[in-house]
Amino acid sequence: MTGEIATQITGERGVVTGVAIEARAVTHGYVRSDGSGVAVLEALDLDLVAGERVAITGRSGAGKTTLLALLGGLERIQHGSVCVGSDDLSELDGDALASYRRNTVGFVFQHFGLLGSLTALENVELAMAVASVPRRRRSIRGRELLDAVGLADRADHLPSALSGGESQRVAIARALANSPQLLLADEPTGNLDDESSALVLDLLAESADGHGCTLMVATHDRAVAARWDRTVVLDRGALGT
Amino acid sequence: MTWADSIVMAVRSIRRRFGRTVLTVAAVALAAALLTSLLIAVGAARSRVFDAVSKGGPLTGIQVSPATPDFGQLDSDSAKLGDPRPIDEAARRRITALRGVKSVVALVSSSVFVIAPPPPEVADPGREVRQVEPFRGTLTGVNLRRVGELPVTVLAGELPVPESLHEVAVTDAYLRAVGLRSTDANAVIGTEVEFGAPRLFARGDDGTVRGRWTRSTIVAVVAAQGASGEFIGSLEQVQAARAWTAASDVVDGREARQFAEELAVTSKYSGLFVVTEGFGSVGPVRAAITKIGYSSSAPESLIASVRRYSQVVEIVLTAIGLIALGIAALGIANAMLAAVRERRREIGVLKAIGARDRDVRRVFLVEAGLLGVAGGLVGTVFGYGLARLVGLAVNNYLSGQGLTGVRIGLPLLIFAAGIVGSGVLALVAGTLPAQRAARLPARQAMGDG
Repeated sequence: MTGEIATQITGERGVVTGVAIEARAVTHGYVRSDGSGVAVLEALDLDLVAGERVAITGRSGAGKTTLLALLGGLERIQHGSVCVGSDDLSELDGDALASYRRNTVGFVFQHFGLLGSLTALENVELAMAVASVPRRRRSIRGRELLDAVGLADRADHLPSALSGGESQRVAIARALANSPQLLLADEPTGNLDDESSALVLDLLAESADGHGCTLMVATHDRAVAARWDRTVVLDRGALGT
Repeated sequence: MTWADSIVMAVRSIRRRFGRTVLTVAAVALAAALLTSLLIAVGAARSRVFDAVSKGGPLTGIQVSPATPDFGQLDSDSAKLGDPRPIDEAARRRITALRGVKSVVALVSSSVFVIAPPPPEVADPGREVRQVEPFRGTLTGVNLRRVGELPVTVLAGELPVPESLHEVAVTDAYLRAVGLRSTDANAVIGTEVEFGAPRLFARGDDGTVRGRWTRSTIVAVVAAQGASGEFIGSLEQVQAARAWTAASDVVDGREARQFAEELAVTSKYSGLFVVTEGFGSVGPVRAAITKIGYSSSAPESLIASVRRYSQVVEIVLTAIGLIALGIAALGIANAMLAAVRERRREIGVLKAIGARDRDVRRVFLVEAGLLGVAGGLVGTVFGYGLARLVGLAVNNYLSGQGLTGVRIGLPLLIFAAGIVGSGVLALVAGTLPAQRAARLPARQAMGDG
């Protein structure tokens, strides 16, 4: 870890509850339909201190989304090691990985990832339902979170009745539902207009500060990247400059 | 994720894809309706056929006649009567004590003079029914409380009340005797018939016959196998007639002696109807009755054949229904697979927020199960309605032919089996799609890139 950012962030950002991340020699790839392999990440080393807010940038195909997927436990580590807090992700599998996603990570997707058959409130509650939070507590916390993202009056609306910005705010509320230690956002403003983008980024920053969680935002937008403590540039699967 | 959450998610998903849900449920419902209506129809038809074969009595019944058995009677369903042999109380007890015998109903008959009522009005215009002359008939008495154990089918009216001395049921032999048809059954209900129990009084070398006359109301028309003759009444009614006849004087004249022999009551019982414990007992009990020395008849070969054929029909029709259900199950599997394909990203999101494979599997299985149960519920109700409609049409036809109709009961077992079976079938059909959904990688949440 670099000394410059090794200090835990406290003060106006509140108490840090986030996790530190330590990725070593991470190599990850896919097999194409023609059987040939393609490496997405190659011998990647990455360190984040607890509570740090980092932007990951790079061209399309640089490996931003794959890196988030690995850190978020959406995929198993093929080579190398990734430690998130006390969890060594390369050793987690199946239910353990699901438990890690449930209890440690909050995800915000570019396409929002709301379930179309559930209302805004139910989408927020869903994350808690998966974590077996009692129904009454779910409802109270879900409404609090929607209130916090300014959508208390949209609680009973289906995603189809929400704008893009509103949908992404609901997604942020859902990502925060189980008080994650690591908040991962994959191109969170990719489908939004400028006004909504600004609102969502403010909300992400406030949420990360308020919850003291570690935040990683994948973006190809330099202006968005500039908002965070540090920018990590990925270039063909490795850290660039 | 709890079961309740899984059910809520499944219900929401079903509601969201309403059109597809309706089509899938309709497919299951049609198959369940087909199977239900076929099973109900087969059951009703089988019971109607068995009723016809056993004349409304138990399938396991044996008719015992007051005669010695003919050689080889056991090879035939019909009785082959040998010489007359009275059935007395000792014989009744011996037969009752036979292994495999459930109950024995005694039949007592008496020869009577009959004065028929004036001919009733019949429905067919132009058909004239004339008053018949008094005739000699047979009044058979049974314990009317146990008439359900006899091969007696009520075609019209209601059976006489037990121990009644003034109510009788008539058989189709009576209808023929008074020039009526079986379709005229309702016309004779409520009419009064006069019975004269004959008694021979000595007058010199010859004798004279005097009757003990009573009036009885015809309250039912029945098809009866066990009771020979035109009338069925209470035991008390027949015993009174027999007692009067039995007190006849002894006369010397040739004609009077011949008449006295005809009237003579030689057998305490005119027949016995033996109900066995099961269809398998009919043969052995008949053999034992033959050994005791009485002629017997039972439709065992006929019933065995009917049973075999009805089972074949049942198997074929059930197979047709099951094939339909199988096709419906394929429909469910197809709909669920399509749902999994469409919802890859949603499934990925579910897993990304921490759902385990089994949570996802359960949501899809619940969805499939709900589709199956809904289809089964609608289908069995619809199938029952269909069977009732067919039953109405069949009964209209049968009543036009002067035959008793089929009974379409409320088959709760078929209802339960239809609903539960459709649910289970849907679960089986949904297993592969649910498994496929559960195995989708969480990365699907971020798209395929």
